[in-house]
Amino acid sequence: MSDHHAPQNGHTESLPDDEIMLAQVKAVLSPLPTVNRQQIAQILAATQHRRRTPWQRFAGRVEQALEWWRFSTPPMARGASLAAAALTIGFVARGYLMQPRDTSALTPDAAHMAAAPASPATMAAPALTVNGAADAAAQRVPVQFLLDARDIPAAANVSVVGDFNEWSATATPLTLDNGVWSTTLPLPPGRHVYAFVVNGERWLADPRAPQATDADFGRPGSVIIVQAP
Amino acid sequence: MNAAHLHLVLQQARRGDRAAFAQLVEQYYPRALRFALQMLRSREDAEEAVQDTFVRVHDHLAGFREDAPFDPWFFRILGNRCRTMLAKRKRHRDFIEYGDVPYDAAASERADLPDGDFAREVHRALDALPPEQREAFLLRHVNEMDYEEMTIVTGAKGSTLRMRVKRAVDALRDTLQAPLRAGVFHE
Repeated sequence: MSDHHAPQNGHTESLPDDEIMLAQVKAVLSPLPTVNRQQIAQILAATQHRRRTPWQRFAGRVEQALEWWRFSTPPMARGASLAAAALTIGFVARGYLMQPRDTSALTPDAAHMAAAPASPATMAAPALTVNGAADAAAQRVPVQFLLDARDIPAAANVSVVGDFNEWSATATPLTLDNGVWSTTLPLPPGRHVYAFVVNGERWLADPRAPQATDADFGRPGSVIIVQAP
Repeated sequence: MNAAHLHLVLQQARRGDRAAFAQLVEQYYPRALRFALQMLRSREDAEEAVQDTFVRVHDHLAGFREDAPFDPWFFRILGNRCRTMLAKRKRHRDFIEYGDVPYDAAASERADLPDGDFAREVHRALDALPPEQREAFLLRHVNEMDYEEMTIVTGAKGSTLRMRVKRAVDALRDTLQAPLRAGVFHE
């Protein structure tokens, strides 16, 4: 515990002055003070019925951490860490604020998807972007998926699969009307990868949308970006 | 109370055993009061700091890691309470000094100084130390902690603490050594 050896009685002559002085100082400072029993009783009474709410416990922890930080950090380091925290928060906030609202010129709504020129295979991201009327309750945007029936002449049934329906080939069937397979889904804002499944087995990327570079296990997929209303 | 007994008492107190907590208070109160008195030089402030410390210990005992050493954890809380008290006192003093009534910093503390020339001089010399040096000196030489434990208590690095202790010893030597050699003190 100690690399300092207090002098023993009768041997102080051989010890350096500092050791003698320290031994004498310790002799003055070491005796324990007289204890007021009332104080101990007060402590026990103060803690007896102490039941704190989780919020008080949390506040207590924060206070303790702040106190610890205040006293264990030199003023310069305190200022520096505050500045670093402010910069970090600012940087993150800036990231959110500067998020592109309009990612590209490709901003057709769902109806344009069918009419868009069919050259998606060579298109890289940015992906297709959809702005739509808000479904205020769920913050979802209705998105229409269309597929020209002439592209899949042998199709008996078509469904759309994607991250929004757990890639289920039966969850979202398309209906054929006037030579166009279509369905409308409310999707949450964000990037979605999807594909069409023809006759329950053939996967087909949307010929009018950009190809997903992260296609699922090599199967074709397309990308749509749904923007928040 | 040996280490095994303390471990057992802590375990019971963590589970809400009132008798175990009372035992803990009995065991630690005198040492805590000695430290607070030597840091704060005021019985009232010291008792308040110690009471506050035990309330905090009680509240946070559940979060105390059983395998961790208890003393440094306890003295860390106590040290923080003492520093808060010193900061509060300094703010108060600054306020009074710039106010109407001149403040005699030592007036309220003189009454607590012990009898005997040397003891009185030791306490005076200790009071003259900056609080962080006084704290480091007391932890090292009165509470006999090693530097690892002192790091937990103060949050300062070992080298910083060694420097503080050294400076404190130097200052005490400068104040006390000459009169000691000259045999000025008669107890």
